[in-house]
Amino acid sequence: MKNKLPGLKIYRSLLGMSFRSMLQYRADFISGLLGVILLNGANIAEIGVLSWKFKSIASWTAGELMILYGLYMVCWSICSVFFSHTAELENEIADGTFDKYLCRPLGAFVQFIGGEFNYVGLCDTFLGVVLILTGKKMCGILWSPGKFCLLLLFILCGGTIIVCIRLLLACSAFRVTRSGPLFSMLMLLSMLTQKYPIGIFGNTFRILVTAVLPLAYVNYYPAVYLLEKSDAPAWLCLLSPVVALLLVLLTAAAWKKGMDRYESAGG
Amino acid sequence: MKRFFSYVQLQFRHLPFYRFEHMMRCLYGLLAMFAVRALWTSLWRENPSLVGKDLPEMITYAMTAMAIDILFYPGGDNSVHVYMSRRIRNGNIEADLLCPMDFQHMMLLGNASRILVLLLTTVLPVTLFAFLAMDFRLPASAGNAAFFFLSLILAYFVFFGTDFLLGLLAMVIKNTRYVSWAYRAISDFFSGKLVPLWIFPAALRTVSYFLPFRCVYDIPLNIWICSFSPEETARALLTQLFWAVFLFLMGRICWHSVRKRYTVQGG
Amino acid sequence: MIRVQEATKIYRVPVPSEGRFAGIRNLFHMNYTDRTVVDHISFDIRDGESVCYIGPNGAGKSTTVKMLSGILMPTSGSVSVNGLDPCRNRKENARNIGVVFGQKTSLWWDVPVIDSYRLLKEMYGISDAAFRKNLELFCDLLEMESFLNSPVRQLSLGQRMRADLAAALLHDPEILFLDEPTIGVDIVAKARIREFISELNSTRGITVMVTTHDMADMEKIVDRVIVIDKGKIYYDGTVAAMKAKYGKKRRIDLTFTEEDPEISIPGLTEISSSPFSRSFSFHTDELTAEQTIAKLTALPLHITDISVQQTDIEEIVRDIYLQSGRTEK
Repeated sequence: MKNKLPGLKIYRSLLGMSFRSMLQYRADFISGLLGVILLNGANIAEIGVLSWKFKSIASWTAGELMILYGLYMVCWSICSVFFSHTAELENEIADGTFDKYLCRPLGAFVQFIGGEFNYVGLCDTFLGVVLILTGKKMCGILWSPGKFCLLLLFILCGGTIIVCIRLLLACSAFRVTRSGPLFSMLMLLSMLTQKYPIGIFGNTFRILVTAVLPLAYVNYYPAVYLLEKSDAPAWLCLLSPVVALLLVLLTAAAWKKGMDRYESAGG
Repeated sequence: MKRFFSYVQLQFRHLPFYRFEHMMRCLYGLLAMFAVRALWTSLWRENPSLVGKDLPEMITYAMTAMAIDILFYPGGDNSVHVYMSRRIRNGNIEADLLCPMDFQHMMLLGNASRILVLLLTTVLPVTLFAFLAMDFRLPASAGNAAFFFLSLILAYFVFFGTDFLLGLLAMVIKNTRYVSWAYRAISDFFSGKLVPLWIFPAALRTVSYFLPFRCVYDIPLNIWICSFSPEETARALLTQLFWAVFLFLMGRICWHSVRKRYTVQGG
Repeated sequence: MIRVQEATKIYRVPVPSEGRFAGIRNLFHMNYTDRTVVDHISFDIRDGESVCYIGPNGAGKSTTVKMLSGILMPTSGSVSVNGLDPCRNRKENARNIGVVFGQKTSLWWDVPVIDSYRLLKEMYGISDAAFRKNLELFCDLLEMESFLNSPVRQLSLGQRMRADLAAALLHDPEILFLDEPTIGVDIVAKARIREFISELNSTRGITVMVTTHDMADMEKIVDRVIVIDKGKIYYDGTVAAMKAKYGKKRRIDLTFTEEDPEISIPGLTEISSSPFSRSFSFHTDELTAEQTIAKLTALPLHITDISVQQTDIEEIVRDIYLQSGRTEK
């Protein structure tokens, strides 16, 4: 434990450093805000048009779809704010930036992740919360304090799941040196699970996003449980902390393995 | 033309180094096709009359859209604005500026050759697979197919036109990550790639008719599923031609003004 | 104390096949080949020694430094730095060493230099007193005050290199690895960097290992040279011994009053000629300087000027590379 604490302190200092670096590019904040709003605006418009035309998608109403979408956004924003450096791993390995972490008496992971503090991601958090609240109002549902706490737990687990999945993909850069295509694949999958109730994609897809890349645990299963939909049994939905924990362990192992491999193969 | 083929040859020579990307891209295309097919099947089953097309037609529309998406996805290697902003960041753009060739033409040659290689190596096999394994319909006549390919070529020029303008923007504002997101979202939505324009509410449809994005998806796709009368086809092709020429000229004008104020980063 | 024993590093590189439809074929199958970058090399570096690791591009210099700093593990053989395996005890090893990669800064790009130093202070757990003392000393020796508060991206290459050098030394490492520290740096900054390095080496007793292909670095900074090419060591010894062993070529320049005289003495090779002057090279094993001059003055010539020079270090190293190429074939 004594060893972990300095790491955390350094992480804070690193984040401070990254924050100050980002402040140098203030114009990015404006364009970032605009980008986040327009990107999500277009997605919401798409769901909006479909649910306007067809009244519901796989018996999910517009309000419910909004909660589904908002949940994903809030979880994603955790990853986006603190872990947006993840996708840079392949570049850092390719151009040798990663080497400098290994010359210092600290874990490479902390140094790598501390390399970016993407405060633009807070726009996602805000927009996501707005969407959840709007959806809640449209559905006319009330959540008990217990359910509300559960919502927070789901968000925490969902955020962890996204972070872990992205880190796992990034770790492939230790092996194949290019993880970019994997990230675009993930983007496609998460776009689908973010916007639509996965039931419409059939069972193969459901197994894929439940057991292989558990994206469904980010927003779909929590939404099913909180909205009391009949899409999935309750116990399956409540597995999300277990899934998150397993992923954390898997990710830690993958990182360690990747580092070993990096040392033995090298650029 | 000779230059174009030497570019194409070069692209082919690079191909083996991007094997992994290529495989993932094929998989990406198949997954995207599968997903839209599932989505529309589900929506169509619930209310067949509201979709406004019969099921195979609708599925073909959506799946072809995903095939075109592989070609004209404004976020990957095939996108000239991504290419340009990358070269601006690493300073290689200077070499391009020194090249004794018109900059816009050079970008067009490089980009077009990349996309042609993509068409041959990725889109054809993926579409072939879709044709064999999923109920994917071919155009009613050879004439329709010919018009489709003509329309696809024009669509390419519209795609390149907007993308090149965005690339020029990257020379002015340096960080285009978020602008690129926003652009992608807007063009995806208003192009009819995800939701066909005939499903849009009238007001949104009118907006889309004033934007160039429709030329990239909506027009070629409607020609492919033969939902245009001959007059409509002619009008649609003329619209595409107008936008292609207009954007190309805009690109030239903007290039000359950007060229003057462009300062190379670093150094 | 650095000890490298039979260290070997092999990389696996893809080789695309050639010929008709190679692009398509390569899509499905790609051949790989092993490239040995460092090939069974061994050497020891004593504490306080300064060593120059010299070789052309791709000779395996950086790979060796990476193995010593714990970034790469040798494929076979062993390396140890102060008794530690740099890879297995990476964090401990990192405290003992300072590393500068000339091509890549280790500082934070967008914040002032001093902020990077403060963060490094925290990372290495440097005491306030030691930090202040080192910072003052480095600022003084490297003349860094003027840019200490500027973001790294605004620094010139020479300034950046000095800032990086100081950053690598803040935690008082016993060993300093410098990978091409003067590459692309202007003459004034180069001189300052060299001076600084030899100063630290002599006053603090820091062990210095410099990789470079700048011959002047070698003569100014170090007392020992290791020449590496194609992953193998071709020379290991002092600069003086190297000159004695390989520097047996001499150059003789003549100026005379006659126009285009005939001069042919066995053992003399013409390097350049003009109507009233001639330059030759000779090898001291075949001809001594005395014999050469005696033979030349015996010729029916009015020599107005004569000079004999030892070949410069650059030429010596070039000769070593050439020999390594020959032995390879």
